[in-house]
This record gives sequence, structure tokens and C-alpha cells, in this order.
Amino acid sequence: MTRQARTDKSFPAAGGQPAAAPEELAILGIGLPAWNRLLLVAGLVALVVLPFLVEGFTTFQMTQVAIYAIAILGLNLLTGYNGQFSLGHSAFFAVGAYTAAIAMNHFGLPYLLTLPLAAVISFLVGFAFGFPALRLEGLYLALATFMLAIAAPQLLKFSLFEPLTGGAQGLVLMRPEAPAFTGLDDDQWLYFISVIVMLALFWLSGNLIRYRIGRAIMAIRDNPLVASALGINTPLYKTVMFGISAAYTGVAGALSAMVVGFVAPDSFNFLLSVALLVGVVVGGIASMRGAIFGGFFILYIPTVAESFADVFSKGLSWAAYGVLLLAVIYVMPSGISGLIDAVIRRIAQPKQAPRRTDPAADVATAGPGPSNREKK
Amino acid sequence: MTVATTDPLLRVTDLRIRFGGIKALDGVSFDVGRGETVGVIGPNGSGKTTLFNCLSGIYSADEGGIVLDGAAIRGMPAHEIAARGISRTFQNLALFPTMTVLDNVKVGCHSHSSSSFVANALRFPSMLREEAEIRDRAWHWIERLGLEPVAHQLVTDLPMGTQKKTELARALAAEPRLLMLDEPAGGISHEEIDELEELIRRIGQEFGVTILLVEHHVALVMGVCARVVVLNFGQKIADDSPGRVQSDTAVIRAYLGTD
Repeated sequence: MTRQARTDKSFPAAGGQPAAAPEELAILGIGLPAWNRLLLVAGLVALVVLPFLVEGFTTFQMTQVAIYAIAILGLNLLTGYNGQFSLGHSAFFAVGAYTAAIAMNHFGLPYLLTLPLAAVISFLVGFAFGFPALRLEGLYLALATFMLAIAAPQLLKFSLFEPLTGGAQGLVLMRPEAPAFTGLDDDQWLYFISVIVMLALFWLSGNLIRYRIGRAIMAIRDNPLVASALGINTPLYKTVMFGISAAYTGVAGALSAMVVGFVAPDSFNFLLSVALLVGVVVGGIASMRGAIFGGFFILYIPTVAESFADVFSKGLSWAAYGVLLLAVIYVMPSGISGLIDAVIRRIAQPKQAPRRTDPAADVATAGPGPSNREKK
Repeated sequence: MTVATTDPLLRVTDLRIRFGGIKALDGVSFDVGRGETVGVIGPNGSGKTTLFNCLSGIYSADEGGIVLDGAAIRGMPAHEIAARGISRTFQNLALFPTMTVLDNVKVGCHSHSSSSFVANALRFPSMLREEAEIRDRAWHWIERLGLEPVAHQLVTDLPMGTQKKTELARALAAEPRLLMLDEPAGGISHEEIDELEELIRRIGQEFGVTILLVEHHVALVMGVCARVVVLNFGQKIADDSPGRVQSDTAVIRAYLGTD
């Protein structure tokens, strides 16, 4: 079809090749794609060596950052990429955490197997919740999911479920131990498990948003009516995205249960939902790497806020948190990720000799070119 | 114009829809033959866009029949209608603002592709092959509409005429049997309208796409349509060749008013 079209002379001659990407930008003479690869490798090396350089407690905190990053990525897939709001992700986090805890405590499931189980169960819960969510938009969806968040801790305490959930006391778990052959301590072992799961889930979602499905879910976010007029089954995509988002957050919950060694209803209250949402916004809406920045933010900033507030009064930590949050949003309206992009745009230069300054020249140089190029 | 009315591509019969007390469409019937380019005109609020919304499944008509190629499609969800070969542009631009021109056009290929969530997430080779096909097909229409220079730019950064072309490319990438254009000439320059006229004619003649065109720009309608359906207050008041419609008293009255 395409070849025929290109040799068809009835239309104005058209040049260029598919995906003739825009001119490559560079920093310090190194192209941006190369920088990306470089930073990716550096980041991976840092992830591997980090737990051997810092104390156990820091390793534990880094593990939590990874876990939050997974949950935030899950919420970002729903809110940032698909345009559906949720204030209820603490409930999905709880579903994952309790799935892992119950499966380990009551059914003796090996801890690694609780992760896929938590993913499946959270997916189903999220998918089921996605149906009523179909009828709700924006603020109404926010309210409906808010209900989920406030109901979850109470349901977990509910006497009928107590034999399973442990009621208000929650469940204490055997923390997984590092296999002897690894030579790692338990914190390091859990760190590596969490990081590997995180990387795998980032890879999957990176693929998911890059191709056909990704375009469809973003089309729904941008304009649901037009998306459906172009053949996208919006109800199906939206419910599946709810499921996937819940599955991510559920896996994070399961990891958290293992790492903390304990689940209790009140760890999964509404504040967790808000924290995840803060993580999405601060990290960068519809940004994958933003989820990692968001993870750092929601783990560390409350502590920073506390030491900040200590200067005045111990009781003002949340006020200080609020001020910090406001400051961050003011300075970085599109999140940490957006700030980084802006900085890169600022310092990056065209890789070739800077012969063009006029934007109109772009069009001229990239325009219909000699048609021999297309024969390649 | 000889059009086989016995086997039309689209047959609309006695279509009705009301919003509250307003009969937006009040018993509209017409046929669109295969390969025909039919204009739909009428004063503001006469029901043209409502008709398009009913045909593309965005609204569900209360009564009447919509038959596309022998299959009743009234009441089907929009995405199924799209999959059956109706694609459209919108009166006010309706591109996906966060996407590039190329990605917008790729979305147009959605109903002709089928890779699943799992295949996407795990990068199945079949999915990657399909992606390459989608890219070729999208690029084909980008070339056809001369959008290569801006293919990688965000649509929101582009002038109106270019955005309109992008929307047209997106609708064509769906390779529709029936293409519905809702005021394609709205908000674009005179030279662009000439180009558009040429383009619509080519889409109809060379690719055999059947076209339904809502347009206020009379010269454009007269230039490309073999037949014109005139709506007024949700009713069809004329259905004839452009020349005859222009001299039709009912049409003149609808446009100029006689009260």
C-alpha cells in the first residue's frame, strides 16, 4: 500500500522518511539519546552499589522509595495517562498488602509468589471498581474513589473478616530472609527484590504507553468522544486501566507488607491516597521517571518538614509540609520531571553546526526534499 | 449524476432525536450512494452536526433507521460504528492536543489494528510488526496531505489550516468507507479552501471514499458535491443537485427568512 502510494504521482511530490526525527540536540557535544543511555546505565549502577555504601536504615528507606515509586506509577498510569482521577489508591495498596499478608500467614505461600497474586487480586478489584467509575467523571470520580479510601480501613477491621485480617491489630509477618548464597543482609535482599520488581514494572508500563494501547489511553484522556469516534472502545480501556493501575499499587502494597513485616488497617488510610497523588503531581503528571522523584518526595519531605517545623514548634510539621509542597508546585508546575526537561531544553543545543536560528528554516529544511531519499 | 439508489452505502430513514422539547432531527431520510460526495447544508441549528453525531454514534437517535452497507447501526456504540467504516472530522478542531501530528494520525489507525494490552506491555514481535504497519499507513496520509515537515511537532503549536489537515489525515488513516467532514473549511484561508476543494475531490475520486460534507462555504459545497441535502429545523427541505438546490424556494426562504 505504502510503496504504491509513494510512486503515485497524482499528489504533490512528498519527501522524507517515516519517523524522520527532529534534529538531534546535544549537551557538551553528546547527543540527548546518548545522555539518556548514559544516565540509565549510571542509574542502574548506582542502584546496584547503593545498598553496599549506606547503612541498613537508608537501604530500608530506599526500598520504600522504590515501593512508593511503583504505587505512584500505578496511579500515574490512571490519572496522568488515562485522565481518571483516584483518591482511592490507598485501598488498592491495602488490597495488595493484605493479599500478601494473608497468603503468607494463613496459606503459607512463599513470599515471592504473593506478588503476582497481589497483582491479580488488585487488578480484579480495580477492574470491578472501574465499571461504576465509567459513569463518573472528574470530581464525581474523585468522590467515589474517596469513598473507597475511607471504607477500606474499616472493612479491614470489620469483625466478620477478623479471622482473616486480624482486625484492628493487623497481621505480623515473618520478614523474608536473604538466602545464604547471596551474602546479603535482609534489608539489602528486600531492597533488591523491590528494585527488580520496580524496574520490571517500569519496563512494562513504558511499553504500554509507547505503542497502540498507549496512544489509545492518552487519546481517551485528551478527548474521550473523539477517541470513541475513532474506534477506541473507551469503556473497556478505562476499566482495564483501572485494573492495571490497581495492580501496580497492589504489588507495591504487597512489597510494603514484606518489607515492613506488618500490616494494619490504619496504615492504609486516606492520607496514603493523598500522598500518592502528591507523588504523581510533584514527580510529574504523565511522567514515568517522575514516579521515582515522587517516591523520594513523599518519603523524605515529611521528615524534612518536621525538622523545618522544629525551629518554631513541634506541632507545625504538616503546616511546614504544606508550605514546602506549595513551594515545589510553584517552582515546578509540571513537576520535578518537567523541571528537568526545561533545564535540558535550556542547555541543549543542536548537534550540527548551529546554522539555523529562524524557526521558519526548520520547515524549509525538513520540507519536501529530493525524492531519491525515499527510495532507500 | 447516475447513482445506484437501490444499494446505497448509507440509508437514513425517518431519523428523529430530541433534546428536551427541541426536535433536533425530525424525521430526516436520505441515501448516500457508493462513491458519492453529498453535501449537507442548512442554517445554524438546523441539525447538521446532530445528524453527524447520530451517524457516528456519539448521540443515539430516538427513532428511525441508519443502515450502513446493509447493516443497521443505529444505537451501536461509537467505536463499533467506527470499526464498520465511518470516520469523521469535527466542527471545532478535535485533535489530541498532547500528541504530535504523527501520533494523532496513528490513532486514526486504531480500528484497523488489534494488538492487546499484553502484547504491548511485553513488546510481542507481532505487536512491533503491527506498529510498523501503523507507522507506514499514518506516514502515507501524512505525505498525501503534505504534513511531513510538521509530523513530529505537537499539534497545538500549528496553525489552524495545518491542524485541520491533520484531522483529515487522521480520519483518512481509518480508511473509512464513509468519511464525514464537519465544516472542514471553517477558520481557514481562501488559498487553503481551494486546496481543500481539490483534496476532497481527490479523496472521492481516487480513493473511492464516499463523503458526507457539512459546510457553510457554499462555493466549496457546490464545487465538490454531486448532491446536496438541505436541513432546516431538523427537517429535510431539499435533496437535489447543487444548482437546483440553490434556486429552490424553500431553501432560499430557510436561509433568508420570510417572517
